[in-house]
Amino acid sequence: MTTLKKWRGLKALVQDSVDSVSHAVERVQKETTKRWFDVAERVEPVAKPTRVVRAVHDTGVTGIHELIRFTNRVVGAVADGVIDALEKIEAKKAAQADETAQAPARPPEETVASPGSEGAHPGPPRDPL
Amino acid sequence: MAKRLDGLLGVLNGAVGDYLARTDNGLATPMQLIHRGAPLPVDRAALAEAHPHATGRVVVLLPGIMCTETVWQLPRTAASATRPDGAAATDYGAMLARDLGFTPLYLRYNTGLAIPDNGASLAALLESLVGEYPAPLTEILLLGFSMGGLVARSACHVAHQRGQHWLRLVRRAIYLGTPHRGAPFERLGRTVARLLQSVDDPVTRLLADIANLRSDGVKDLGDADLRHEDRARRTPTVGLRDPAHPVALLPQIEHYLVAGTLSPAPWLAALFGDTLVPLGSATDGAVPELAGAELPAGHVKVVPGLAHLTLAHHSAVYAHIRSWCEPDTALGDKSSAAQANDSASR
Repeated sequence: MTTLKKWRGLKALVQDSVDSVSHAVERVQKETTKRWFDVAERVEPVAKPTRVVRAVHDTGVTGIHELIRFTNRVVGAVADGVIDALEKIEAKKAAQADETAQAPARPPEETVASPGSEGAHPGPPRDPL
Repeated sequence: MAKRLDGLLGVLNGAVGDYLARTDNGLATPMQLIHRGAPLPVDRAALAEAHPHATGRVVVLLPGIMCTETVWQLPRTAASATRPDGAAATDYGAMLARDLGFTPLYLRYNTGLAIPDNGASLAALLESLVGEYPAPLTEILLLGFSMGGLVARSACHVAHQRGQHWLRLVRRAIYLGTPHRGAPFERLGRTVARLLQSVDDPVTRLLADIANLRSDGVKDLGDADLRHEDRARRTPTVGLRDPAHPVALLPQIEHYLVAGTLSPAPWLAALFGDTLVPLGSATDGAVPELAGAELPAGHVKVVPGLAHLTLAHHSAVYAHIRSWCEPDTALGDKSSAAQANDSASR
Protein backbone atom coordinates (compact mmCIF):
# COMPACT_ATOMS: atom_id res chain seq x y z
CA MET A 1 0.00 0.00 0.00
CA THR A 2 1.62 3.25 -1.08
CA THR A 3 1.61 6.33 1.08
CA LEU A 4 -0.42 8.26 -1.50
CA LYS A 5 -3.04 5.50 -1.59
CA LYS A 6 -3.34 5.87 2.17
CA TRP A 7 -3.65 9.65 1.86
CA ARG A 8 -6.38 9.19 -0.74
CA GLY A 9 -8.10 6.76 1.60
CA LEU A 10 -7.89 9.20 4.50
CA LYS A 11 -9.28 11.96 2.31
CA ALA A 12 -12.20 9.75 1.24
CA LEU A 13 -12.88 8.74 4.84
CA VAL A 14 -12.90 12.33 6.10
CA GLN A 15 -15.04 13.47 3.17
CA ASP A 16 -17.57 10.66 3.69
CA SER A 17 -17.65 11.35 7.43
CA VAL A 18 -18.33 15.07 7.00
CA ASP A 19 -21.05 14.31 4.45
CA SER A 20 -22.74 11.68 6.63
CA VAL A 21 -22.54 13.79 9.80
CA SER A 22 -23.97 16.79 7.98
CA HIS A 23 -26.92 14.74 6.67
CA ALA A 24 -27.52 13.22 10.13
CA VAL A 25 -27.37 16.55 11.97
CA GLU A 26 -29.65 18.19 9.40
CA ARG A 27 -32.18 15.40 9.89
CA VAL A 28 -32.03 15.71 13.69
CA GLN A 29 -32.35 19.50 13.58
CA LYS A 30 -35.40 19.33 11.34
CA GLU A 31 -37.08 16.49 13.25
CA THR A 32 -36.47 18.16 16.62
CA THR A 33 -37.97 21.49 15.60
CA LYS A 34 -40.78 19.81 13.63
CA ARG A 35 -42.58 18.85 16.86
CA TRP A 36 -42.59 22.40 18.20
CA PHE A 37 -43.65 23.88 14.89
CA ASP A 38 -46.45 21.29 14.59
CA VAL A 39 -47.78 22.29 18.02
CA ALA A 40 -47.44 26.01 17.37
CA GLU A 41 -49.18 25.75 14.00
CA ARG A 42 -52.28 24.35 15.73
CA VAL A 43 -52.60 27.50 17.85
CA GLU A 44 -54.57 29.86 15.65
CA PRO A 45 -53.11 33.27 16.64
CA VAL A 46 -49.52 32.18 15.96
CA ALA A 47 -50.16 29.67 13.18
CA LYS A 48 -49.41 32.02 10.30
CA PRO A 49 -46.16 33.50 11.65
CA THR A 50 -45.09 30.00 12.75
CA ARG A 51 -45.42 28.77 9.16
CA VAL A 52 -43.20 31.62 8.03
CA VAL A 53 -40.64 30.96 10.76
CA ARG A 54 -40.72 27.28 9.92
CA ALA A 55 -40.07 27.90 6.25
CA VAL A 56 -37.22 30.26 7.07
CA HIS A 57 -35.78 27.81 9.60
CA ASP A 58 -35.95 24.78 7.32
CA THR A 59 -34.53 26.71 4.39
CA GLY A 60 -31.74 28.04 6.60
CA VAL A 61 -30.87 24.60 7.98
CA THR A 62 -30.91 23.05 4.51
CA GLY A 63 -28.86 25.94 3.11
CA ILE A 64 -26.21 25.73 5.81
CA HIS A 65 -25.82 21.98 5.42
CA GLU A 66 -25.80 22.19 1.63
CA LEU A 67 -23.04 24.77 1.95
CA ILE A 68 -21.09 22.49 4.30
CA ARG A 69 -21.44 19.57 1.88
CA PHE A 70 -20.56 21.72 -1.13
CA THR A 71 -17.43 23.00 0.61
CA ASN A 72 -16.60 19.43 1.57
CA ARG A 73 -16.87 18.34 -2.07
CA VAL A 74 -14.72 21.26 -3.27
CA VAL A 75 -12.03 20.58 -0.66
CA GLY A 76 -12.19 16.89 -1.59
CA ALA A 77 -11.78 17.67 -5.28
CA VAL A 78 -8.80 19.93 -4.57
CA ALA A 79 -7.21 17.25 -2.38
CA ASP A 80 -7.81 14.71 -5.17
CA GLY A 81 -6.09 17.04 -7.61
CA VAL A 82 -3.09 17.43 -5.34
CA ILE A 83 -2.84 13.66 -4.81
CA ASP A 84 -3.19 13.07 -8.59
CA ALA A 85 -0.35 15.49 -9.22
CA LEU A 86 1.82 13.86 -6.57
CA GLU A 87 1.07 10.45 -8.07
CA LYS A 88 2.14 11.67 -11.52
CA ILE A 89 5.39 13.04 -10.08
CA GLU A 90 6.00 9.76 -8.26
CA ALA A 91 5.27 7.73 -11.41
CA LYS A 92 7.63 9.94 -13.44
CA LYS A 93 10.38 9.51 -10.86
CA ALA A 94 9.86 5.75 -10.84
CA ALA A 95 10.02 5.63 -14.65
CA GLN A 96 13.24 7.65 -14.65
CA ALA A 97 14.74 5.37 -12.02
CA ASP A 98 13.79 2.35 -14.15
CA GLU A 99 15.39 3.88 -17.24
CA THR A 100 18.55 4.62 -15.31
CA ALA A 101 18.68 1.10 -13.97
CA GLN A 102 18.11 -0.47 -17.42
CA ALA A 103 20.56 1.74 -19.31
CA PRO A 104 23.84 -0.10 -20.14
CA ALA A 105 26.75 1.07 -18.06
CA ARG A 106 28.82 3.49 -20.16
CA PRO A 107 32.59 3.54 -19.86
CA PRO A 108 33.79 6.62 -18.03
CA GLU A 109 34.31 9.44 -20.50
CA GLU A 110 37.78 10.69 -20.88
CA THR A 111 37.93 14.34 -20.28
CA VAL A 112 40.61 16.46 -21.73
CA ALA A 113 41.81 19.31 -19.70
CA SER A 114 41.49 22.49 -21.67
CA PRO A 115 44.42 24.74 -21.76
CA GLY A 116 44.58 26.93 -18.77
CA SER A 117 42.30 24.81 -16.67
CA GLU A 118 43.39 23.59 -13.23
CA GLY A 119 42.58 19.99 -14.03
CA ALA A 120 40.09 17.65 -15.64
CA HIS A 121 36.54 18.85 -15.18
CA PRO A 122 33.67 16.70 -16.34
CA GLY A 123 31.45 19.66 -17.19
CA PRO A 124 27.68 19.71 -16.93
CA PRO A 125 25.85 16.38 -17.32
CA ARG A 126 24.74 15.63 -20.88
CA ASP A 127 21.10 15.49 -21.66
CA PRO A 128 20.34 11.83 -22.42
CA LEU A 129 17.77 12.90 -24.99
CA MET B 1 6.48 6.16 13.34
CA ALA B 2 5.50 3.60 10.70
CA LYS B 3 4.72 1.10 13.48
CA ARG B 4 2.48 3.64 15.19
CA LEU B 5 0.70 4.39 11.91
CA ASP B 6 0.17 0.66 11.34
CA GLY B 7 -1.25 0.44 14.85
CA LEU B 8 -3.66 3.29 14.15
CA LEU B 9 -4.72 1.67 10.90
CA GLY B 10 -5.30 -1.56 12.81
CA VAL B 11 -7.67 0.22 15.18
CA LEU B 12 -9.42 1.99 12.30
CA ASN B 13 -9.82 -1.28 10.40
CA GLY B 14 -11.26 -2.97 13.47
CA ALA B 15 -13.77 -0.16 13.97
CA VAL B 16 -14.96 0.43 10.38
CA GLY B 17 -12.90 -1.98 8.29
CA ASP B 18 -15.93 -3.45 6.52
CA TYR B 19 -16.87 0.03 5.28
CA LEU B 20 -13.28 0.69 4.17
CA ALA B 21 -13.21 -2.58 2.23
CA ARG B 22 -16.66 -1.96 0.72
CA THR B 23 -15.64 1.48 -0.54
CA ASP B 24 -12.26 0.25 -1.77
CA ASN B 25 -10.56 2.70 0.57
CA GLY B 26 -6.77 2.74 0.56
CA LEU B 27 -6.75 2.51 4.36
CA ALA B 28 -8.27 -1.00 4.31
CA THR B 29 -5.71 -3.61 5.28
CA PRO B 30 -5.59 -6.67 3.05
CA MET B 31 -4.88 -10.05 4.62
CA GLN B 32 -1.15 -10.58 4.35
CA LEU B 33 1.87 -12.05 6.05
CA ILE B 34 4.18 -9.51 7.65
CA HIS B 35 7.92 -9.89 8.00
CA ARG B 36 9.87 -7.22 9.86
CA GLY B 37 7.07 -4.70 9.46
CA ALA B 38 6.68 -5.15 5.69
CA PRO B 39 4.28 -7.34 3.68
CA LEU B 40 5.67 -10.75 2.80
CA PRO B 41 4.23 -12.14 -0.45
CA VAL B 42 3.23 -15.79 -0.38
CA ASP B 43 5.64 -16.93 -3.05
CA ARG B 44 8.57 -19.30 -2.81
CA ALA B 45 11.31 -16.77 -3.52
CA ALA B 46 10.06 -14.17 -1.06
CA LEU B 47 9.46 -16.74 1.66
CA ALA B 48 12.91 -18.26 1.12
CA GLU B 49 14.53 -14.85 1.29
CA ALA B 50 12.65 -13.90 4.48
CA HIS B 51 13.20 -17.29 6.09
CA PRO B 52 16.46 -18.72 4.73
CA HIS B 53 16.39 -21.43 7.42
CA ALA B 54 12.70 -22.27 7.08
CA THR B 55 11.76 -25.37 9.04
CA GLY B 56 8.95 -27.84 8.47
CA ARG B 57 7.03 -26.61 11.51
CA VAL B 58 5.24 -23.33 10.94
CA VAL B 59 3.36 -21.23 13.46
CA VAL B 60 0.84 -18.75 12.09
CA LEU B 61 0.10 -15.97 14.56
CA LEU B 62 -3.31 -14.34 14.22
CA PRO B 63 -3.86 -11.12 16.16
CA GLY B 64 -7.19 -10.01 17.60
CA ILE B 65 -9.59 -7.25 16.71
CA MET B 66 -8.03 -3.79 16.20
CA CYS B 67 -4.58 -5.34 16.65
CA THR B 68 -1.62 -5.87 14.37
CA GLU B 69 1.33 -8.21 14.77
CA THR B 70 2.81 -5.79 17.33
CA VAL B 71 0.35 -7.14 19.90
CA TRP B 72 2.64 -10.17 20.28
CA GLN B 73 5.56 -8.02 21.41
CA LEU B 74 6.56 -8.90 24.96
CA PRO B 75 7.42 -6.01 27.27
CA ARG B 76 11.14 -5.29 26.98
CA THR B 77 12.00 -6.49 30.49
CA ALA B 78 10.07 -9.73 30.13
CA ALA B 79 11.61 -10.38 26.73
CA SER B 80 15.20 -9.84 27.90
CA ALA B 81 14.53 -12.00 30.93
CA THR B 82 13.87 -14.98 28.71
CA ARG B 83 17.57 -15.38 27.99
CA PRO B 84 20.52 -14.73 30.22
CA ASP B 85 22.38 -12.80 27.52
CA GLY B 86 19.45 -10.47 27.06
CA ALA B 87 19.41 -11.10 23.30
CA ALA B 88 15.88 -12.25 23.58
CA ALA B 89 13.14 -13.53 21.39
CA THR B 90 10.51 -10.86 21.73
CA ASP B 91 7.23 -12.60 20.98
CA TYR B 92 5.65 -16.04 21.04
CA GLY B 93 6.60 -16.69 17.42
CA ALA B 94 10.26 -15.90 17.94
CA MET B 95 10.30 -17.85 21.19
CA LEU B 96 8.77 -20.89 19.52
CA ALA B 97 11.39 -20.56 16.78
CA ARG B 98 14.16 -20.45 19.35
CA ASP B 99 12.86 -23.20 21.62
CA LEU B 100 11.10 -25.63 19.30
CA GLY B 101 12.29 -24.81 15.81
CA PHE B 102 9.07 -23.31 14.47
CA THR B 103 9.15 -20.82 11.63
CA PRO B 104 6.92 -17.92 12.68
CA LEU B 105 4.56 -16.31 10.17
CA TYR B 106 2.78 -13.18 11.36
CA LEU B 107 -0.59 -12.39 9.88
CA ARG B 108 -2.12 -8.95 9.50
CA TYR B 109 -5.72 -8.58 8.36
CA ASN B 110 -8.69 -6.28 8.28
CA THR B 111 -10.28 -7.18 11.61
CA GLY B 112 -13.39 -5.17 10.77
CA LEU B 113 -14.44 -7.62 8.07
CA ALA B 114 -16.89 -10.37 8.96
CA ILE B 115 -15.19 -13.34 10.63
CA PRO B 116 -16.37 -15.77 7.89
CA ASP B 117 -14.81 -13.51 5.23
CA ASN B 118 -11.49 -13.41 7.06
CA GLY B 119 -11.74 -17.16 7.63
CA ALA B 120 -12.18 -17.79 3.89
CA SER B 121 -9.24 -15.48 3.08
CA LEU B 122 -7.04 -17.23 5.63
CA ALA B 123 -7.97 -20.64 4.24
CA ALA B 124 -6.97 -19.47 0.74
CA LEU B 125 -3.74 -17.93 2.02
CA LEU B 126 -2.72 -21.11 3.86
CA GLU B 127 -3.54 -23.22 0.81
CA SER B 128 -1.18 -21.03 -1.23
CA LEU B 129 1.42 -21.25 1.52
CA VAL B 130 1.46 -25.05 1.32
CA GLY B 131 2.37 -24.82 -2.36
CA GLU B 132 4.90 -22.02 -2.02
CA TYR B 133 6.65 -22.80 1.25
CA PRO B 134 10.36 -23.23 0.56
CA ALA B 135 10.80 -26.35 2.75
CA PRO B 136 8.77 -29.55 3.21
CA LEU B 137 5.92 -28.61 5.53
CA THR B 138 5.24 -31.06 8.33
CA GLU B 139 3.08 -29.02 10.69
CA ILE B 140 1.05 -25.82 10.79
CA LEU B 141 0.34 -24.49 14.26
CA LEU B 142 -2.46 -21.93 14.50
CA LEU B 143 -2.01 -19.47 17.34
CA GLY B 144 -4.94 -17.07 17.60
CA PHE B 145 -5.44 -14.26 20.02
CA SER B 146 -9.02 -13.16 20.72
CA MET B 147 -10.79 -12.75 17.36
CA GLY B 148 -7.77 -14.39 15.70
CA GLY B 149 -8.85 -17.68 17.26
CA LEU B 150 -12.30 -17.38 15.72
CA VAL B 151 -10.80 -16.55 12.32
CA ALA B 152 -8.62 -19.67 12.64
CA ARG B 153 -11.70 -21.76 13.48
CA SER B 154 -13.61 -20.28 10.57
CA ALA B 155 -10.70 -21.01 8.22
CA CYS B 156 -10.57 -24.62 9.44
CA HIS B 157 -14.29 -24.92 8.85
CA VAL B 158 -13.90 -23.60 5.28
CA ALA B 159 -10.91 -25.89 4.62
CA HIS B 160 -12.82 -28.87 5.99
CA GLN B 161 -15.75 -28.18 3.68
CA ARG B 162 -13.56 -27.59 0.63
CA GLY B 163 -11.12 -30.42 1.36
CA GLN B 164 -8.11 -28.12 1.34
CA HIS B 165 -4.67 -29.64 1.83
CA TRP B 166 -3.33 -27.37 4.54
CA LEU B 167 -5.84 -28.61 7.10
CA ARG B 168 -4.11 -32.01 7.17
CA LEU B 169 -0.98 -30.29 8.44
CA VAL B 170 -2.75 -28.62 11.35
CA ARG B 171 -2.26 -30.78 14.42
CA ARG B 172 -2.76 -28.13 17.07
CA ALA B 173 -4.63 -24.87 17.42
CA ILE B 174 -4.07 -22.61 20.40
CA TYR B 175 -6.60 -19.95 21.35
CA LEU B 176 -5.71 -17.11 23.71
CA GLY B 177 -8.69 -15.27 25.19
CA THR B 178 -10.84 -16.26 22.23
CA PRO B 179 -14.58 -15.69 22.80
CA HIS B 180 -15.69 -19.13 21.57
CA ARG B 181 -19.17 -18.50 22.91
CA GLY B 182 -19.35 -14.84 22.10
CA ALA B 183 -18.60 -11.56 23.80
CA PRO B 184 -21.37 -10.30 26.12
CA PHE B 185 -20.27 -6.68 25.79
CA GLU B 186 -21.05 -6.75 22.08
CA ARG B 187 -24.42 -8.41 22.77
CA LEU B 188 -25.13 -5.70 25.33
CA GLY B 189 -24.13 -3.02 22.81
CA ARG B 190 -26.42 -4.60 20.23
CA THR B 191 -29.33 -4.48 22.66
CA VAL B 192 -28.65 -0.87 23.63
CA ALA B 193 -28.55 0.10 19.95
CA ARG B 194 -31.92 -1.62 19.38
CA LEU B 195 -33.41 0.17 22.39
CA LEU B 196 -32.15 3.53 21.18
CA GLN B 197 -33.52 2.81 17.72
CA SER B 198 -36.95 1.97 19.10
CA VAL B 199 -37.34 5.29 20.96
CA ASP B 200 -39.21 7.83 18.83
CA ASP B 201 -36.68 10.60 19.20
CA PRO B 202 -34.29 11.92 16.56
CA VAL B 203 -31.36 12.18 18.98
CA THR B 204 -31.61 8.60 20.27
CA ARG B 205 -32.04 7.34 16.70
CA LEU B 206 -28.89 9.25 15.75
CA LEU B 207 -27.05 7.62 18.66
CA ALA B 208 -28.32 4.22 17.49
CA ASP B 209 -27.09 4.95 13.97
CA ILE B 210 -23.67 5.86 15.35
CA ALA B 211 -23.59 2.67 17.45
CA ASN B 212 -24.51 0.62 14.40
CA LEU B 213 -21.53 1.97 12.47
CA ARG B 214 -19.34 -0.58 14.27
CA SER B 215 -17.84 -3.08 11.91
CA ASP B 216 -19.11 -6.53 10.93
CA GLY B 217 -16.10 -7.97 12.73
CA VAL B 218 -17.19 -6.43 16.03
CA LYS B 219 -20.78 -7.55 15.47
CA ASP B 220 -19.67 -11.12 14.72
CA LEU B 221 -17.88 -11.26 18.07
CA GLY B 222 -21.20 -11.03 19.91
CA ASP B 223 -22.13 -14.64 19.20
CA ALA B 224 -18.81 -15.79 17.72
CA ASP B 225 -20.35 -16.15 14.27
CA LEU B 226 -18.01 -18.30 12.18
CA ARG B 227 -20.34 -18.63 9.17
CA HIS B 228 -22.53 -16.06 7.46
CA GLU B 229 -25.61 -18.16 8.20
CA ASP B 230 -24.82 -18.01 11.94
CA ARG B 231 -26.05 -14.42 12.10
CA ALA B 232 -29.62 -15.68 11.82
CA ARG B 233 -29.40 -17.01 15.38
CA ARG B 234 -28.68 -13.60 16.86
CA THR B 235 -31.32 -12.83 19.45
CA PRO B 236 -32.69 -9.40 20.33
CA THR B 237 -32.20 -9.99 24.06
CA VAL B 238 -29.05 -9.98 26.13
CA GLY B 239 -28.10 -13.57 26.84
CA LEU B 240 -26.80 -13.95 30.36
CA ARG B 241 -25.29 -17.31 29.50
CA ASP B 242 -23.05 -17.70 26.50
CA PRO B 243 -24.93 -19.55 23.78
CA ALA B 244 -23.60 -22.91 22.68
CA HIS B 245 -21.86 -22.63 19.34
CA PRO B 246 -23.28 -24.42 16.30
CA VAL B 247 -19.84 -24.99 14.74
CA ALA B 248 -18.01 -27.54 16.85
CA LEU B 249 -14.23 -27.63 17.22
CA LEU B 250 -12.81 -29.93 14.54
CA PRO B 251 -12.05 -33.29 16.18
CA GLN B 252 -8.94 -34.03 14.09
CA ILE B 253 -7.12 -31.04 15.64
CA GLU B 254 -5.87 -30.78 19.19
CA HIS B 255 -7.35 -27.60 20.63
CA TYR B 256 -5.73 -25.72 23.48
CA LEU B 257 -7.36 -22.80 25.23
CA VAL B 258 -5.94 -20.11 27.50
CA ALA B 259 -8.20 -17.78 29.45
CA GLY B 260 -7.31 -14.91 31.73
CA THR B 261 -9.10 -13.79 34.86
CA LEU B 262 -8.59 -10.55 36.71
CA SER B 263 -10.56 -11.36 39.82
CA PRO B 264 -9.86 -14.30 42.14
CA ALA B 265 -13.58 -14.46 43.08
CA PRO B 266 -15.06 -17.33 41.01
CA TRP B 267 -18.34 -15.58 40.17
CA LEU B 268 -16.54 -12.38 39.08
CA ALA B 269 -14.08 -14.44 37.05
CA ALA B 270 -16.95 -16.31 35.42
CA LEU B 271 -18.82 -13.10 34.61
CA PHE B 272 -16.01 -10.80 33.52
CA GLY B 273 -13.10 -13.16 32.87
CA ASP B 274 -10.25 -11.13 31.44
CA THR B 275 -12.51 -7.99 31.40
CA LEU B 276 -13.63 -8.53 27.80
CA VAL B 277 -14.21 -12.26 27.46
CA PRO B 278 -15.89 -14.22 30.27
CA LEU B 279 -14.34 -17.46 31.42
CA GLY B 280 -17.08 -19.66 30.01
CA SER B 281 -16.59 -18.17 26.55
CA ALA B 282 -12.79 -18.22 26.54
CA THR B 283 -12.72 -21.84 27.67
CA ASP B 284 -15.62 -22.84 25.41
CA GLY B 285 -17.53 -24.07 28.43
CA ALA B 286 -14.72 -26.40 29.47
CA VAL B 287 -14.33 -24.98 32.96
CA PRO B 288 -16.04 -27.64 35.12
CA GLU B 289 -17.93 -25.26 37.35
CA LEU B 290 -19.48 -23.49 34.37
CA ALA B 291 -20.49 -26.20 31.97
CA GLY B 292 -19.90 -29.74 30.89
CA ALA B 293 -16.30 -30.27 29.80
CA GLU B 294 -15.72 -31.00 26.13
CA LEU B 295 -11.93 -30.72 26.11
CA PRO B 296 -9.42 -32.61 28.25
CA ALA B 297 -8.55 -30.64 31.38
CA GLY B 298 -4.92 -30.32 30.31
CA HIS B 299 -6.00 -28.49 27.17
CA VAL B 300 -7.55 -25.59 29.05
CA LYS B 301 -5.55 -23.22 31.21
CA VAL B 302 -6.83 -20.34 33.24
CA VAL B 303 -4.13 -17.79 34.04
CA PRO B 304 -5.10 -15.63 36.99
CA GLY B 305 -4.27 -11.94 37.05
CA LEU B 306 -4.12 -11.44 33.28
CA ALA B 307 -6.23 -8.91 31.42
CA HIS B 308 -7.39 -9.62 27.88
CA LEU B 309 -4.61 -7.87 25.95
CA THR B 310 -1.87 -9.25 28.19
CA LEU B 311 -2.69 -12.79 27.06
CA ALA B 312 -0.96 -12.01 23.76
CA HIS B 313 2.40 -11.29 25.38
CA HIS B 314 3.03 -12.89 28.73
CA SER B 315 5.68 -15.37 29.80
CA ALA B 316 3.17 -17.43 31.84
CA VAL B 317 1.03 -17.90 28.74
CA TYR B 318 4.08 -18.80 26.68
CA ALA B 319 4.98 -21.49 29.22
CA HIS B 320 1.69 -23.22 28.43
CA ILE B 321 2.09 -22.74 24.68
CA ARG B 322 5.54 -24.24 24.79
CA SER B 323 4.50 -27.23 26.88
CA TRP B 324 1.67 -27.96 24.44
CA CYS B 325 3.94 -27.72 21.43
CA GLU B 326 6.69 -30.01 22.66
CA PRO B 327 6.91 -32.80 20.06
CA ASP B 328 5.82 -35.45 22.63
CA THR B 329 2.57 -33.70 23.43
CA ALA B 330 0.92 -34.27 20.07
CA LEU B 331 2.43 -37.64 19.36
CA GLY B 332 0.92 -39.60 22.15
CA ASP B 333 1.52 -39.44 25.83
CA LYS B 334 -1.25 -36.95 26.41
CA SER B 335 -1.99 -38.04 29.92
CA SER B 336 1.51 -37.34 31.21
CA ALA B 337 1.59 -34.02 29.41
CA ALA B 338 -1.76 -33.12 30.88
CA GLN B 339 -0.50 -33.99 34.33
CA ALA B 340 2.55 -31.82 33.82
CA ASN B 341 0.36 -28.99 32.61
CA ASP B 342 -1.99 -29.36 35.53
CA SER B 343 0.80 -29.11 38.00
CA ALA B 344 2.16 -26.06 36.18
CA SER B 345 -1.10 -24.15 36.39
CA ARG B 346 -4.13 -23.83 38.62
